[in-house]
Amino acid sequence: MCWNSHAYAILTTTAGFVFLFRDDVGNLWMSQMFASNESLAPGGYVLPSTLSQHYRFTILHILYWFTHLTETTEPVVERDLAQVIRVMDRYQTKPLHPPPPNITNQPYTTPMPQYANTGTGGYGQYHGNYTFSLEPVDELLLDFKPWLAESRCGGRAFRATLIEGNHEIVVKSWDSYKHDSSQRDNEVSIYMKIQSLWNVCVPRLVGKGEIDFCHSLFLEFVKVKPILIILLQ
Amino acid sequence: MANKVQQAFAEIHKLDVIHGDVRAANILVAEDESIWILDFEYAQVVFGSRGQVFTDEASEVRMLLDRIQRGEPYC
Repeated sequence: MCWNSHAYAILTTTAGFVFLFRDDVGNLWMSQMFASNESLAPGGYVLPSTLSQHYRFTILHILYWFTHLTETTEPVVERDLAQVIRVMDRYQTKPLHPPPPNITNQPYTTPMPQYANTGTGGYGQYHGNYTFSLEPVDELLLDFKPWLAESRCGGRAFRATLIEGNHEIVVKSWDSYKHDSSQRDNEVSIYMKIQSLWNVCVPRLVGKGEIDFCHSLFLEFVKVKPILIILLQ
Repeated sequence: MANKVQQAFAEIHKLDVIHGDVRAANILVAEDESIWILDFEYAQVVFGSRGQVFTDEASEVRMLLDRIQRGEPYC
């Protein structure tokens, strides 16, 4: 229902029903849990008769009405952004601002910081300077489909594409119902500390943010060699 | 390849960081056979160690043992 044009849907067990409605911008609305008989009432289900003055108002009436709605409602028009995930509370790594101009016109007495990540694959001299900072950004959009098998990278990591620049990245997510953001934040701080090794032996940290109910961080994608080839060598 | 892995972890240790979760699943071999270290979820910064992180209190092995004692998953 998330990525098709259906506006209405029903989640059902043998005796309980939940009614769903999705609008254009991807908001999914969910009704209370309705029961077809009184035995489910202690479990938090609502009896349809509570919705009407008529005591004989039943779940079949609701189903009939909902079926009518699905038949008569036009499909939801999907917009271009309908398949894009919008990251909330988002931060991206950015190169630090250049140093302020030397207003005294005196030459620098110490060498200016250099980018350690030369991309040559060698281990550069660590100079202790941070060349990237994590900064809030106005918008961060991902093409992210974790339900596809080809998106899975093992554990809590999934492949995705950063819409801006069409960069392939890896999304690592923690379920916020089970974890607070401390593990994610610790990992982000470690990546920032070892940024002189980005693109050398550690993937570059792209950013962090919240995706639905998950704390997430984003890393550059590294194309790996199949394990079978490594073993055969 | 083992030398490359050792060198990669040595570089991380030089930055006063202990990975804390050294295992095969967190080491990638890229197509150009370069070694990539992942998953710094359990990593810790050891302040003031100046690269000398292989002490009784702070080492990859010690962190792994601590996690095993706490009953956390480690493989």
